[in-house]
Amino acid sequence: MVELTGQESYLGELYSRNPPDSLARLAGKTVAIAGAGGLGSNIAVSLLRAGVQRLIIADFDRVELSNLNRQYYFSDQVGHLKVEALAENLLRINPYAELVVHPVEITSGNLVALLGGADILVEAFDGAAAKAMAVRAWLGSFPDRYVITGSGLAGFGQSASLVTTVRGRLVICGDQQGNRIEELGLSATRLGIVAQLQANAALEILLSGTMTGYPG
Amino acid sequence: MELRVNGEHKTLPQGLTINELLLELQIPAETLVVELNGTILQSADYPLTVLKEQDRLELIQFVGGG
Repeated sequence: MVELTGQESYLGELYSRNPPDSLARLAGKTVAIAGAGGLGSNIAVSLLRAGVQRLIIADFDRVELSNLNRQYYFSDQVGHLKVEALAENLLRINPYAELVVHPVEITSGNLVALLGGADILVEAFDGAAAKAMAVRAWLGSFPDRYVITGSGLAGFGQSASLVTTVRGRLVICGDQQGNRIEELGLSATRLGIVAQLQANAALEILLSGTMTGYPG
Repeated sequence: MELRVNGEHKTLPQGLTINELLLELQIPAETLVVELNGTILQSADYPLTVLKEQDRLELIQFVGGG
């Protein structure tokens, strides 16, 4: 067990292998994650490891055993609120992270009030209608702030079909193909690729200010 | 009138609203994001927005799973 020797030395060592200057440039940046399921839990962990230390996370759901095939939870967390379990797991990586969690259902009526403090919204809902709602609500209020969505990740393999497309401030990660979850199921591997595409896009926007060179 | 829907040329009746277009194409509005000439529209605007000649319309259908 690592002894916590104070914030500065802990964070200095934790982030010593991150890209040069990235930590200073990410200081004060906030990412909101709407949904803490397969996408959201993995995105939160990656963003924190990448040096995004301020996260707002919303989800009303509780951890189920069937989530553990792809979501960043553990068997002793079954039954716990996802946002509380995720906050625990994140603080085990970086105990100094600044986390705001909302154990509520995000709707078009509360999205801006609960998540609008962030520089970027990462949409990580399960349902297609909730995904579309989040994009409309976010860009309707913040036309200059990026929203990064995950759309289409069922099955396994076929990594090349999972791509990032950019339309203005809307970034879409996934294969965007049909509703095929019942038929194809969900694998940690393919879902994980989409989660990392989303987290990587958020990092790119926070560090470079833009997403250039992607298909539209 | 001539316009572009998802990058393809389409000929549609004059004076069609977004709502009417979605009904005609049988596209469910709930899981859809509509971008008209680069701007994302709110659902409440669909019945009020009349399509014009040379409009560029993107209909982005979201897929469940997360």
